[in-house]
Amino acid sequence: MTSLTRALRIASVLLTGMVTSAHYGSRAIIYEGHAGPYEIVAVIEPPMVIPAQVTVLVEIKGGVPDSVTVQPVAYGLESSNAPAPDALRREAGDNQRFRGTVWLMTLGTYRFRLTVHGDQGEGTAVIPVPAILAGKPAWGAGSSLLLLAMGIGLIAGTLMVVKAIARDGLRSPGEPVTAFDDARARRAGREGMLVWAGISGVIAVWWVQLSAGYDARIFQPYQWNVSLASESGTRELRILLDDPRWRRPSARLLSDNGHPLHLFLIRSPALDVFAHLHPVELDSATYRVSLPPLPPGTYRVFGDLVHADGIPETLVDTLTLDNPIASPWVPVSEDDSWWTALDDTATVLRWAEPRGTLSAGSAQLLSFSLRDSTGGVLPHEPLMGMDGHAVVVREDLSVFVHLHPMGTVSMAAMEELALQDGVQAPHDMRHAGTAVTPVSFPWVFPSGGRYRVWGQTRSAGTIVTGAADFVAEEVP
Amino acid sequence: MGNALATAISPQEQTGQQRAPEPVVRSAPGLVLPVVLGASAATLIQVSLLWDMSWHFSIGRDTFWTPPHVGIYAGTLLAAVTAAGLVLRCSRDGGTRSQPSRWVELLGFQGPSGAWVVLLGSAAMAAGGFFDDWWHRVYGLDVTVLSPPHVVLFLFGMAVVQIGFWMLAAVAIGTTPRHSTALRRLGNWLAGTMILVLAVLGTEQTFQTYMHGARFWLVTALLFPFLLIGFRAAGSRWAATSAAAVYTIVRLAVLWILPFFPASPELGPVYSPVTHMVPPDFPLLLIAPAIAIDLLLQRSHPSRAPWKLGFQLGAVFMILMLIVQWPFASFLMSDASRNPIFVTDNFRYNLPSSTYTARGEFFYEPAWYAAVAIGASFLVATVSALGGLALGQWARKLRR
Repeated sequence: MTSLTRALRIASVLLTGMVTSAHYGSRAIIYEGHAGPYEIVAVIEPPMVIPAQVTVLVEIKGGVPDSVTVQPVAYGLESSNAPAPDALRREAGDNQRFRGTVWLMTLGTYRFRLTVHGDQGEGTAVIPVPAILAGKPAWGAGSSLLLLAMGIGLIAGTLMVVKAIARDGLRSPGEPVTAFDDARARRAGREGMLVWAGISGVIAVWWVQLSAGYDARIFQPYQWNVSLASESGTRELRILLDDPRWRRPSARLLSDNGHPLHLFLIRSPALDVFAHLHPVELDSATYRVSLPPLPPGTYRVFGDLVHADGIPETLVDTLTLDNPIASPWVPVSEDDSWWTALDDTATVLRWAEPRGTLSAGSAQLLSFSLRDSTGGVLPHEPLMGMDGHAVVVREDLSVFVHLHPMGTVSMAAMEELALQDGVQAPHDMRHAGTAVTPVSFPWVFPSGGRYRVWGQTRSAGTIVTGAADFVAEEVP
Repeated sequence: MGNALATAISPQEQTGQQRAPEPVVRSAPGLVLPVVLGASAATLIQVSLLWDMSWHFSIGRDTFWTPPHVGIYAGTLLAAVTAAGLVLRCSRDGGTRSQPSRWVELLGFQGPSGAWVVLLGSAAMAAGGFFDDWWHRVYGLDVTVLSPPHVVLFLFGMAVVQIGFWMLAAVAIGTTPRHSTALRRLGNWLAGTMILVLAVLGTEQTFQTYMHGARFWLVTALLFPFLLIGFRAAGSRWAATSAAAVYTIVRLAVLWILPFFPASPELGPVYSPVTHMVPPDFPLLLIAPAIAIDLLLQRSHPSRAPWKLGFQLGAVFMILMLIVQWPFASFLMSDASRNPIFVTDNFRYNLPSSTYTARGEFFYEPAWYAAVAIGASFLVATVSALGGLALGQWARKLRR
C-alpha cells in the first residue's frame, strides 16, 4: 500500500451522504498534484451548510515539511480579503500528514491556498472548493426532542411562576390567601397562556420565514433537456440548458479541457456501450453533438459542466434510441469517442488488478496501461491535455464520476481560480509527447457494490478506451 | 401580571395601604446582598455581551469557551446560585416560623418573587444556549443579532434575570428601609443593565446610518420610554437619569477600552481591515430625554390621568431625542467624529466598502417616509411610556 493510499484512507471518515452536485453521488474533493516543489495529496470534504467548517487533510509525499497552512479566498476576491492562513496540525505519528479545519462563511467557490513550508522552501497549491447549500438542514431527532422538551418546560415554568406571583406577590407578609388572590392567579395563568401563544405564533412565523430564506439559497442544479434531432441524415442530440432561477452570475460556462460541456452516454442496465462526446454551442442555451452509431437501447446521459463562478455540476437524463444509427458518423470534435463491449482492437487498455479487497470509503489507486497483443506496454499520448481520463459508475448508475489523474478537482475551476490568484495553475497537464508509465487515478468508492470503470487515452492519434469491473466491499 | 395595566389606570391605586397593617417581620433573610450580587452578575453579563459583539465584529470565529462567553456563563451562574440560595434560605426560615408563608410559594419552596424570576431567566439562558448551538448546526452560523435563539437568550434570559433582581430590589426597599438608598441605587443600576441588553437587541435597527430614517425612530420609541419609565425604584427622583447614565458609562467604557487590544479577523471575506478590537457604537444620547422624564415625573402623579401623562412622557422623549440625537447623528457621520473618542472609523471586518456606513452616508429614505415614521413614533412612544407606567405601578404593589 503506497503512502498515497494510506493518506487517502483518512477520507473514509470524511465521506458523507450522496448529494447531487458535481460528480453524481460522491462529494469529496481529491487533489493529487504539486504545491511548488512538493508533491501533495489533499482531501477536502465540502460541508452541507454554509457557513460551516471544512476539514482539510494533506499528505506531503515528496520533501520534509515544517508546516502547512491553508487560506480560503472567496471567488473574485484577493488574498488580502481573506483571514490570515490557518495552520494545519501535524498528525500524531506521521510527520508527512496534516489536518485542520477552516471556516467558510459565504456561498460560492473558494480557492483554498495550501502552502507548504519545508526543506525545499515554500510552495502553494490552489484548489477550488465549491461552497453551496447542498440540501435542507437535518434536524437531529434527539436534540430536537430535547429542545422541544426544554421549550415546553420553560413555558410551563413561566406560567407557574406567573401564577404564584399573582397569587402571593401583592399580599403583605402574614396575610392569608383569599379567593380574590386565587382568582387573580387563575386570570394571570390564562393571560399568560395567551401571551405565550402569541409569542410562539410570532416565533413560528419568523422561523418559517427564515427557513424559506434558507431554502431559497439551496443550490438549484441546472435543468436540461436532451433530445434527438435528425439533420441531413445524421443523428444529432440537442441539449437545452435551463437555469430554473436565473441566479447564476453569468450564463457562461468555463471551458474544461477545451470544452464547455462533456457528455457521457452509458447504455443501461448492461453498461455495455459508452460514449464520451463534446457538444458545441448552437446558441446561448442549446448545444448540439452528432451521435456515433450507437446500438438501440436505453441510455443514461451524464453532462459535466462548470459554471462561471467555478461551481461544477453533473446533469443526468435518460435517452432511448429505437433505431440503429446507420449513417456515417461525423464527430463534432476530435476528442469524441465511443466504445462497446464487443470492441476488438490491437491496442488494449488494461486496468491493473486491485491488490486485495477494495473497501468503500478508503483510498484506492486505480491505474491502467496500454498493451499490445503480446502484452507489451505501449506508449500513450495526452488526451485533452491529460495522461488519461476515467469514468467510474456504480452498476445501478447511482454514482457517476469523471476522474483525472489529479483527482476529482474541477480542472476548469482550478484554472480560473489560479488566474484570480495570479499564479500558474499547478497541475500535471501535458500537451505533447508520449509516456509509458501507467496512468493512475486516486479514488474513494463511496459505498459497497459493483462498479464499472472506463479508461481513455490516446495512442498513435486514436482514442483508446477500455473497461474493467471492480467490487467494493462495504466496511461496517 | 396581565391585570397590572387595568389596575394602574383605575383609581384604586392605594390598595396596599387599605389592607391590615403589616406585622413586624423578624429577621427576614437579608435581601441587600443578593441584590448586590445580582447587580454584579447583570453587569458582568452585559459587559461580556458587548465584548462578545466586538469579538464577532473583529475576529469572527468563536467557540463555546471564548472569554466573553465565559463571562456570560459566569454571570448567569452567579445569578442562578444567588437566587437559588435565597429561595433555600427563605424556604428553611419560613418552615419554622409561626406564619406559614412569608414569601411566594412554589413547588414546596418559597422565596421572593424576584428570586423565582431570576431562576426562570437562568433556565431560559441554559435553554437558549442549547437552542443557539442547535440552530448553528442546522442552519449554519448566524451573522446577525436577531435570530430566534438570540431572542430567547437576550429577552427571555438576560432581561428576565435582570428584571428578577430589580423586582428583588423593589421588594427589599420596603422590607429594609435602613438600606433603602443603596437599594434604590442598585435598582436604578439594574434598570441601566436592562437598557443595555435591549439596546443590544435593537443594534441592527439603530445603526448610525439609520439615524435619520424610519426604523431607528420607531424602534427607539418602542424600546426606550418603557425602559426609562418602567423601572423606577420607588421614591427615586432621578431614576431614569441614573439608568441612562449607567447605560452611557458602560457603553463608553467599552467603546474606549476595547480598541487598545489587537485583533485580526479569523473568518472571511474580509472587506474592511481590522487591526484592533472593533467596539459597539457610541451610545445613544438617552441621558437627555431621561432627565426630562425625571423632571416631568417629579411633578406629576402616575395615578392621575395616566393616559395624558403617558402621552406627555412619550412626547417629551421624542422631542428631546430629536433635538439631541438628530444633529449628533450628522456629527457622527462627518469626518470630525473619526477619532478615538467617537470611534466612527473602526469598521467590522465584514463591512463592504460599498455600504452606506463605510461611506459615511445616511441610509437613503425619502423625506416624507421618515417624517411619517417619526410622527408614528410619537404614538409608539406614548404606548411605550404607558407600558412603563403600568409596570412601575405594579412594582410598587409588590410585597414579596
